[in-house]
Amino acid sequence: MNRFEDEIKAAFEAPKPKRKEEFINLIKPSKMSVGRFLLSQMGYIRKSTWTVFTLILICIILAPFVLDYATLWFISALMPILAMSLVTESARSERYNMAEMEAATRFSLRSVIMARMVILGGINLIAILIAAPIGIKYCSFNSFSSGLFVVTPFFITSSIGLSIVRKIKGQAGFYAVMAEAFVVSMLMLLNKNSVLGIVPPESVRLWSIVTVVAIVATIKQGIGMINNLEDITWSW
Amino acid sequence: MASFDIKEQYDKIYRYCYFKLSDRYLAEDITQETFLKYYEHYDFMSETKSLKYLYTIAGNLCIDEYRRTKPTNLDEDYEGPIHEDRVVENVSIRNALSKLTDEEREILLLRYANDVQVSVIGKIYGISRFAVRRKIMAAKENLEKELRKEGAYEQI
Repeated sequence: MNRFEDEIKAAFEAPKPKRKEEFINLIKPSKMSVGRFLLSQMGYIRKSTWTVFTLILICIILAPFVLDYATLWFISALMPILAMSLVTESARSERYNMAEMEAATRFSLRSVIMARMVILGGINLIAILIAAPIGIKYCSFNSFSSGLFVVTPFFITSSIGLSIVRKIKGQAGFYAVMAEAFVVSMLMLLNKNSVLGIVPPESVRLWSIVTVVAIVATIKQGIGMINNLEDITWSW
Repeated sequence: MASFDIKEQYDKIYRYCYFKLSDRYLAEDITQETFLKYYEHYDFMSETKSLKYLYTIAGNLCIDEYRRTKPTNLDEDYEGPIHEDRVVENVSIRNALSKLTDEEREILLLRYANDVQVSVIGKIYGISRFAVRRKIMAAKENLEKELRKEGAYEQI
Protein backbone atom coordinates (compact mmCIF):
# COMPACT_ATOMS: atom_id res chain seq x y z
CA MET A 1 0.00 0.00 0.00
CA ASN A 2 1.42 3.45 -0.92
CA ARG A 3 1.00 6.62 1.11
CA PHE A 4 -2.09 7.76 -0.79
CA GLU A 5 -3.81 4.44 -0.09
CA ASP A 6 -2.73 4.65 3.56
CA GLU A 7 -4.36 8.05 3.78
CA ILE A 8 -7.56 6.71 2.23
CA LYS A 9 -7.57 3.95 4.87
CA ALA A 10 -7.02 6.48 7.65
CA ALA A 11 -9.86 8.64 6.33
CA PHE A 12 -12.22 5.73 6.84
CA GLU A 13 -11.29 5.37 10.48
CA ALA A 14 -14.47 4.84 12.47
CA PRO A 15 -15.09 5.28 16.20
CA LYS A 16 -14.53 2.08 18.17
CA PRO A 17 -17.57 -0.15 18.55
CA LYS A 18 -18.73 -0.32 22.16
CA ARG A 19 -20.59 -3.63 22.36
CA LYS A 20 -18.28 -5.86 20.33
CA GLU A 21 -16.88 -8.15 23.05
CA GLU A 22 -20.26 -8.49 24.71
CA PHE A 23 -21.86 -9.53 21.39
CA ILE A 24 -19.10 -11.96 20.38
CA ASN A 25 -19.26 -13.66 23.79
CA LEU A 26 -23.04 -13.88 23.54
CA ILE A 27 -23.37 -15.14 19.98
CA LYS A 28 -23.19 -18.87 19.48
CA PRO A 29 -22.93 -19.56 15.78
CA SER A 30 -24.77 -22.70 14.73
CA LYS A 31 -21.89 -24.85 13.61
CA MET A 32 -22.38 -27.68 11.18
CA SER A 33 -19.73 -30.36 11.47
CA VAL A 34 -18.11 -31.81 8.36
CA GLY A 35 -19.74 -35.17 9.19
CA ARG A 36 -23.19 -33.64 9.39
CA PHE A 37 -22.60 -31.75 6.16
CA LEU A 38 -21.53 -34.95 4.35
CA LEU A 39 -24.57 -36.74 5.75
CA SER A 40 -26.85 -33.94 4.54
CA GLN A 41 -25.33 -34.17 1.05
CA MET A 42 -25.83 -37.95 0.85
CA GLY A 43 -29.54 -37.30 0.45
CA TYR A 44 -28.89 -35.29 -2.72
CA ILE A 45 -27.11 -38.09 -4.55
CA ARG A 46 -29.52 -39.48 -7.12
CA LYS A 47 -31.31 -42.75 -6.52
CA SER A 48 -30.02 -44.05 -9.87
CA THR A 49 -26.43 -43.70 -8.61
CA TRP A 50 -27.25 -45.68 -5.46
CA THR A 51 -29.06 -48.28 -7.61
CA VAL A 52 -26.03 -48.71 -9.91
CA PHE A 53 -23.76 -49.06 -6.88
CA THR A 54 -26.05 -51.64 -5.24
CA LEU A 55 -26.39 -53.66 -8.46
CA ILE A 56 -22.62 -53.68 -8.99
CA LEU A 57 -22.09 -54.79 -5.39
CA ILE A 58 -24.63 -57.62 -5.79
CA CYS A 59 -22.95 -58.71 -9.06
CA ILE A 60 -19.52 -58.70 -7.37
CA ILE A 61 -20.77 -60.81 -4.46
CA LEU A 62 -22.69 -63.26 -6.68
CA ALA A 63 -20.05 -63.52 -9.44
CA PRO A 64 -17.98 -66.35 -7.84
CA PHE A 65 -21.08 -68.57 -7.63
CA VAL A 66 -21.83 -68.18 -11.34
CA LEU A 67 -18.54 -67.44 -13.08
CA ASP A 68 -15.99 -69.20 -10.89
CA TYR A 69 -12.55 -68.67 -12.54
CA ALA A 70 -13.80 -65.80 -14.72
CA THR A 71 -14.78 -63.75 -11.64
CA LEU A 72 -11.71 -61.48 -11.75
CA TRP A 73 -12.30 -60.43 -15.39
CA PHE A 74 -15.95 -59.81 -14.70
CA ILE A 75 -15.14 -57.67 -11.64
CA SER A 76 -12.52 -55.69 -13.53
CA ALA A 77 -15.06 -55.11 -16.32
CA LEU A 78 -17.53 -53.74 -13.73
CA MET A 79 -15.03 -51.25 -12.31
CA PRO A 80 -15.37 -48.75 -15.23
CA ILE A 81 -19.15 -48.67 -14.63
CA LEU A 82 -18.49 -47.86 -10.97
CA ALA A 83 -16.05 -45.10 -11.97
CA MET A 84 -18.58 -43.80 -14.51
CA SER A 85 -21.19 -43.31 -11.76
CA LEU A 86 -18.62 -41.34 -9.72
CA VAL A 87 -17.68 -39.10 -12.65
CA THR A 88 -21.21 -38.41 -13.91
CA GLU A 89 -22.57 -37.70 -10.43
CA SER A 90 -19.67 -35.35 -9.64
CA ALA A 91 -20.28 -33.49 -12.90
CA ARG A 92 -24.06 -33.44 -12.53
CA SER A 93 -24.23 -29.64 -12.22
CA GLU A 94 -22.28 -29.24 -15.46
CA ARG A 95 -24.38 -31.85 -17.23
CA TYR A 96 -27.59 -29.97 -16.63
CA ASN A 97 -25.93 -26.54 -16.97
CA MET A 98 -26.91 -25.80 -13.37
CA ALA A 99 -23.47 -24.83 -12.05
CA GLU A 100 -24.03 -21.06 -12.07
CA MET A 101 -27.40 -21.42 -10.37
CA GLU A 102 -26.10 -23.86 -7.79
CA ALA A 103 -23.22 -21.50 -7.07
CA ALA A 104 -25.78 -19.05 -5.65
CA THR A 105 -27.30 -21.48 -3.18
CA ARG A 106 -26.77 -21.81 0.56
CA PHE A 107 -23.63 -23.96 0.41
CA SER A 108 -20.79 -23.20 -1.95
CA LEU A 109 -20.86 -25.37 -5.05
CA ARG A 110 -17.25 -26.20 -4.34
CA SER A 111 -18.14 -27.67 -0.91
CA VAL A 112 -21.07 -29.57 -2.41
CA ILE A 113 -19.01 -31.12 -5.23
CA MET A 114 -16.19 -31.96 -2.82
CA ALA A 115 -18.69 -33.61 -0.45
CA ARG A 116 -20.21 -35.52 -3.39
CA MET A 117 -16.75 -36.72 -4.46
CA VAL A 118 -15.82 -37.78 -0.91
CA ILE A 119 -19.09 -39.72 -0.46
CA LEU A 120 -18.93 -41.44 -3.85
CA GLY A 121 -15.18 -42.05 -3.52
CA GLY A 122 -15.88 -43.63 -0.12
CA ILE A 123 -18.60 -45.96 -1.38
CA ASN A 124 -16.51 -46.87 -4.43
CA LEU A 125 -13.61 -47.69 -2.12
CA ILE A 126 -15.94 -49.99 -0.17
CA ALA A 127 -16.89 -51.71 -3.44
CA ILE A 128 -13.21 -52.09 -4.41
CA LEU A 129 -12.34 -53.44 -0.94
CA ILE A 130 -15.09 -56.05 -1.33
CA ALA A 131 -14.24 -56.82 -4.97
CA ALA A 132 -10.47 -57.19 -4.63
CA PRO A 133 -10.42 -60.14 -2.15
CA ILE A 134 -13.17 -61.92 -4.13
CA GLY A 135 -11.22 -61.46 -7.37
CA ILE A 136 -7.97 -62.57 -5.75
CA LYS A 137 -9.59 -65.70 -4.26
CA TYR A 138 -10.98 -66.93 -7.58
CA CYS A 139 -7.88 -66.28 -9.68
CA SER A 140 -4.61 -68.02 -10.34
CA PHE A 141 -2.66 -64.72 -10.34
CA ASN A 142 -0.85 -63.50 -7.25
CA SER A 143 -2.65 -61.00 -4.98
CA PHE A 144 -0.77 -57.94 -6.28
CA SER A 145 -1.51 -58.71 -9.93
CA SER A 146 -5.17 -59.43 -9.17
CA GLY A 147 -5.44 -56.21 -7.15
CA LEU A 148 -4.01 -54.25 -10.08
CA PHE A 149 -6.53 -55.90 -12.36
CA VAL A 150 -9.37 -54.56 -10.21
CA VAL A 151 -8.02 -51.07 -9.44
CA THR A 152 -6.52 -50.08 -12.82
CA PRO A 153 -9.73 -49.96 -14.93
CA PHE A 154 -11.41 -47.91 -12.20
CA PHE A 155 -8.73 -45.22 -12.20
CA ILE A 156 -8.28 -45.23 -15.99
CA THR A 157 -12.02 -44.61 -16.43
CA SER A 158 -12.23 -41.96 -13.71
CA SER A 159 -9.15 -40.02 -14.88
CA ILE A 160 -10.21 -39.96 -18.54
CA GLY A 161 -13.87 -39.45 -17.55
CA LEU A 162 -13.10 -36.42 -15.37
CA SER A 163 -10.99 -34.93 -18.14
CA ILE A 164 -13.88 -35.48 -20.59
CA VAL A 165 -16.52 -33.80 -18.39
CA ARG A 166 -14.18 -30.85 -17.86
CA LYS A 167 -13.80 -30.40 -21.61
CA ILE A 168 -17.20 -31.39 -22.95
CA LYS A 169 -20.09 -29.70 -21.16
CA GLY A 170 -23.70 -30.83 -20.94
CA GLN A 171 -25.25 -34.12 -22.08
CA ALA A 172 -22.55 -34.70 -24.71
CA GLY A 173 -19.93 -35.05 -21.97
CA PHE A 174 -22.13 -37.51 -20.12
CA TYR A 175 -22.50 -39.72 -23.22
CA ALA A 176 -18.76 -39.48 -23.93
CA VAL A 177 -18.01 -40.76 -20.40
CA MET A 178 -20.50 -43.62 -20.90
CA ALA A 179 -18.77 -44.58 -24.14
CA GLU A 180 -15.37 -44.37 -22.53
CA ALA A 181 -16.46 -46.59 -19.61
CA PHE A 182 -17.93 -49.07 -22.08
CA VAL A 183 -14.66 -49.22 -24.08
CA VAL A 184 -12.52 -49.75 -20.95
CA SER A 185 -14.97 -52.37 -19.71
CA MET A 186 -14.84 -54.21 -23.06
CA LEU A 187 -11.04 -54.08 -23.08
CA MET A 188 -11.00 -55.75 -19.67
CA LEU A 189 -13.32 -58.49 -20.92
CA LEU A 190 -11.24 -58.97 -24.07
CA ASN A 191 -8.22 -59.40 -21.87
CA LYS A 192 -9.81 -62.52 -20.42
CA ASN A 193 -9.06 -64.39 -23.64
CA SER A 194 -5.64 -62.74 -23.85
CA VAL A 195 -6.76 -60.90 -26.99
CA LEU A 196 -4.73 -57.89 -25.90
CA GLY A 197 -2.03 -59.99 -24.29
CA ILE A 198 -1.52 -57.63 -21.39
CA VAL A 199 -2.53 -59.67 -18.35
CA PRO A 200 -0.89 -58.54 -15.10
CA PRO A 201 1.41 -61.47 -14.26
CA GLU A 202 3.33 -61.07 -17.52
CA SER A 203 3.43 -57.28 -17.51
CA VAL A 204 3.10 -56.28 -13.87
CA ARG A 205 5.49 -53.36 -14.27
CA LEU A 206 3.42 -51.87 -17.09
CA TRP A 207 0.20 -52.31 -15.08
CA SER A 208 1.80 -50.72 -12.00
CA ILE A 209 2.97 -47.69 -13.99
CA VAL A 210 -0.44 -47.30 -15.67
CA THR A 211 -2.18 -47.55 -12.28
CA VAL A 212 0.06 -44.93 -10.64
CA VAL A 213 -0.33 -42.58 -13.63
CA ALA A 214 -4.13 -43.09 -13.61
CA ILE A 215 -4.36 -42.39 -9.85
CA VAL A 216 -2.27 -39.21 -10.19
CA ALA A 217 -4.33 -38.13 -13.22
CA THR A 218 -7.61 -38.76 -11.34
CA ILE A 219 -6.47 -36.65 -8.38
CA LYS A 220 -5.21 -33.90 -10.73
CA GLN A 221 -8.44 -33.84 -12.73
CA GLY A 222 -10.53 -33.87 -9.54
CA ILE A 223 -8.63 -30.89 -8.11
CA GLY A 224 -8.82 -29.11 -11.49
CA MET A 225 -12.56 -29.65 -11.63
CA ILE A 226 -13.05 -28.16 -8.16
CA ASN A 227 -10.74 -25.23 -8.89
CA ASN A 228 -12.64 -24.51 -12.13
CA LEU A 229 -15.81 -23.94 -10.10
CA GLU A 230 -14.25 -20.77 -8.67
CA ASP A 231 -13.94 -19.37 -12.19
CA ILE A 232 -17.63 -19.72 -13.01
CA THR A 233 -18.30 -16.10 -11.98
CA TRP A 234 -15.72 -14.77 -14.42
CA SER A 235 -16.97 -16.62 -17.46
CA TRP A 236 -20.07 -14.44 -17.87
CA MET B 1 -19.43 -23.04 9.97
CA ALA B 2 -18.07 -19.53 9.71
CA SER B 3 -14.89 -19.45 7.67
CA PHE B 4 -13.77 -16.03 8.92
CA ASP B 5 -12.55 -14.39 12.09
CA ILE B 6 -15.66 -12.81 13.63
CA LYS B 7 -13.62 -10.33 15.72
CA GLU B 8 -11.90 -8.99 12.61
CA GLN B 9 -15.01 -8.98 10.46
CA TYR B 10 -17.10 -7.32 13.18
CA ASP B 11 -14.89 -4.21 12.98
CA LYS B 12 -14.97 -4.20 9.21
CA ILE B 13 -18.72 -4.64 8.86
CA TYR B 14 -19.18 -2.00 11.57
CA ARG B 15 -16.95 0.43 9.64
CA TYR B 16 -18.89 -0.33 6.45
CA CYS B 17 -22.21 0.37 8.19
CA TYR B 18 -20.86 3.43 9.98
CA PHE B 19 -19.87 5.11 6.73
CA LYS B 20 -23.22 4.28 5.21
CA LEU B 21 -25.36 5.44 8.14
CA SER B 22 -23.13 8.05 9.85
CA ASP B 23 -24.36 6.89 13.26
CA ARG B 24 -22.15 4.73 15.47
CA TYR B 25 -24.98 3.28 17.57
CA LEU B 26 -27.13 2.48 14.56
CA ALA B 27 -24.08 1.07 12.76
CA GLU B 28 -23.37 -1.27 15.67
CA ASP B 29 -27.00 -2.40 15.80
CA ILE B 30 -26.91 -3.17 12.08
CA THR B 31 -23.55 -4.95 12.42
CA GLN B 32 -24.96 -7.25 15.10
CA GLU B 33 -28.14 -7.85 13.10
CA THR B 34 -25.97 -8.72 10.08
CA PHE B 35 -24.12 -11.44 12.00
CA LEU B 36 -27.34 -12.77 13.52
CA LYS B 37 -28.95 -13.02 10.09
CA TYR B 38 -25.80 -14.59 8.64
CA TYR B 39 -25.63 -17.30 11.30
CA GLU B 40 -29.36 -17.93 11.02
CA HIS B 41 -29.13 -18.89 7.34
CA TYR B 42 -25.61 -19.62 6.21
CA ASP B 43 -23.38 -21.92 8.16
CA PHE B 44 -21.15 -23.85 5.76
CA MET B 45 -19.44 -21.95 3.00
CA SER B 46 -16.11 -20.67 1.78
CA GLU B 47 -14.58 -17.43 3.07
CA THR B 48 -15.24 -15.63 -0.22
CA LYS B 49 -18.91 -16.55 -0.18
CA SER B 50 -19.24 -15.76 3.54
CA LEU B 51 -17.82 -12.25 3.04
CA LYS B 52 -20.07 -11.70 0.05
CA TYR B 53 -23.12 -12.62 2.13
CA LEU B 54 -21.99 -10.52 5.11
CA TYR B 55 -21.55 -7.38 3.01
CA THR B 56 -24.76 -8.03 1.07
CA ILE B 57 -26.78 -8.46 4.28
CA ALA B 58 -25.14 -5.40 5.86
CA GLY B 59 -25.73 -3.32 2.70
CA ASN B 60 -29.40 -4.28 2.53
CA LEU B 61 -29.96 -3.60 6.23
CA CYS B 62 -28.27 -0.20 5.87
CA ILE B 63 -30.52 0.66 2.91
CA ASP B 64 -33.61 -0.32 4.96
CA GLU B 65 -32.36 1.79 7.87
CA TYR B 66 -31.47 4.71 5.61
CA ARG B 67 -35.00 4.72 4.23
CA ARG B 68 -36.51 4.49 7.71
CA THR B 69 -34.46 7.17 9.47
CA LYS B 70 -32.71 10.31 8.31
CA PRO B 71 -28.95 9.83 8.86
CA THR B 72 -27.02 12.41 10.92
CA ASN B 73 -23.92 14.24 9.72
CA LEU B 74 -20.90 11.96 9.90
CA ASP B 75 -18.68 14.58 11.51
CA GLU B 76 -21.06 15.24 14.42
CA ASP B 77 -20.55 11.73 15.65
CA TYR B 78 -16.97 11.19 14.62
CA GLU B 79 -14.28 11.35 17.30
CA GLY B 80 -11.47 12.01 14.86
CA PRO B 81 -8.27 10.23 13.93
CA ILE B 82 -5.83 9.13 16.63
CA HIS B 83 -2.65 10.76 15.23
CA GLU B 84 -2.82 14.53 15.53
CA ASP B 85 -0.25 15.20 12.79
CA ARG B 86 -2.56 13.54 10.30
CA VAL B 87 -5.63 15.59 11.21
CA VAL B 88 -5.28 18.13 8.40
CA GLU B 89 -4.64 15.51 5.71
CA ASN B 90 -7.44 13.39 7.06
CA VAL B 91 -10.00 16.18 6.99
CA SER B 92 -8.98 17.06 3.42
CA ILE B 93 -9.38 13.47 2.27
CA ARG B 94 -12.70 13.19 4.09
CA ASN B 95 -13.93 16.31 2.32
CA ALA B 96 -12.74 14.98 -1.01
CA LEU B 97 -14.31 11.59 -0.31
CA SER B 98 -17.63 13.24 0.42
CA LYS B 99 -17.61 14.61 -3.14
CA LEU B 100 -17.30 11.15 -4.69
CA THR B 101 -20.32 9.04 -5.57
CA ASP B 102 -21.64 6.56 -2.98
CA GLU B 103 -20.35 3.65 -5.04
CA GLU B 104 -16.87 5.14 -5.41
CA ARG B 105 -16.67 5.82 -1.67
CA GLU B 106 -17.89 2.31 -0.87
CA ILE B 107 -15.45 0.62 -3.20
CA LEU B 108 -12.50 2.56 -1.72
CA LEU B 109 -13.68 1.67 1.80
CA LEU B 110 -13.96 -2.00 0.92
CA ARG B 111 -10.59 -2.19 -0.83
CA TYR B 112 -8.37 0.04 1.31
CA ALA B 113 -10.01 0.35 4.73
CA ASN B 114 -11.44 -3.17 4.99
CA ASP B 115 -8.77 -4.91 2.88
CA VAL B 116 -11.41 -6.88 0.97
CA GLN B 117 -9.88 -8.80 -1.93
CA VAL B 118 -10.72 -7.63 -5.45
CA SER B 119 -12.30 -11.03 -6.22
CA VAL B 120 -14.62 -10.71 -3.18
CA ILE B 121 -15.61 -7.15 -4.14
CA GLY B 122 -16.41 -8.53 -7.59
CA LYS B 123 -18.72 -11.09 -6.02
CA ILE B 124 -20.42 -8.44 -3.85
CA TYR B 125 -21.19 -6.26 -6.87
CA GLY B 126 -21.66 -9.16 -9.27
CA ILE B 127 -18.97 -7.88 -11.64
CA SER B 128 -15.60 -9.18 -12.87
CA ARG B 129 -12.27 -8.54 -11.17
CA PHE B 130 -11.23 -6.36 -14.11
CA ALA B 131 -14.33 -4.21 -13.71
CA VAL B 132 -13.58 -3.85 -9.97
CA ARG B 133 -10.01 -2.75 -10.75
CA ARG B 134 -11.30 -0.21 -13.25
CA LYS B 135 -13.78 1.17 -10.70
CA ILE B 136 -11.05 1.43 -8.03
CA MET B 137 -8.74 3.26 -10.45
CA ALA B 138 -11.53 5.65 -11.46
CA ALA B 139 -12.45 6.31 -7.82
CA LYS B 140 -8.81 7.04 -6.94
CA GLU B 141 -8.43 9.35 -9.92
CA ASN B 142 -11.57 11.27 -8.95
CA LEU B 143 -10.39 11.50 -5.34
CA GLU B 144 -7.02 12.79 -6.52
CA LYS B 145 -8.79 15.35 -8.71
CA GLU B 146 -10.88 16.57 -5.77
CA LEU B 147 -7.79 16.80 -3.55
CA ARG B 148 -5.93 18.79 -6.23
CA LYS B 149 -8.86 21.20 -6.43
CA GLU B 150 -8.48 21.80 -2.68
CA GLY B 151 -4.72 22.00 -3.06
CA ALA B 152 -4.32 19.16 -0.57
CA TYR B 153 -2.91 16.47 -2.84
CA GLU B 154 0.67 17.80 -2.66
CA GLN B 155 0.64 17.53 1.15
CA ILE B 156 0.00 13.80 0.82
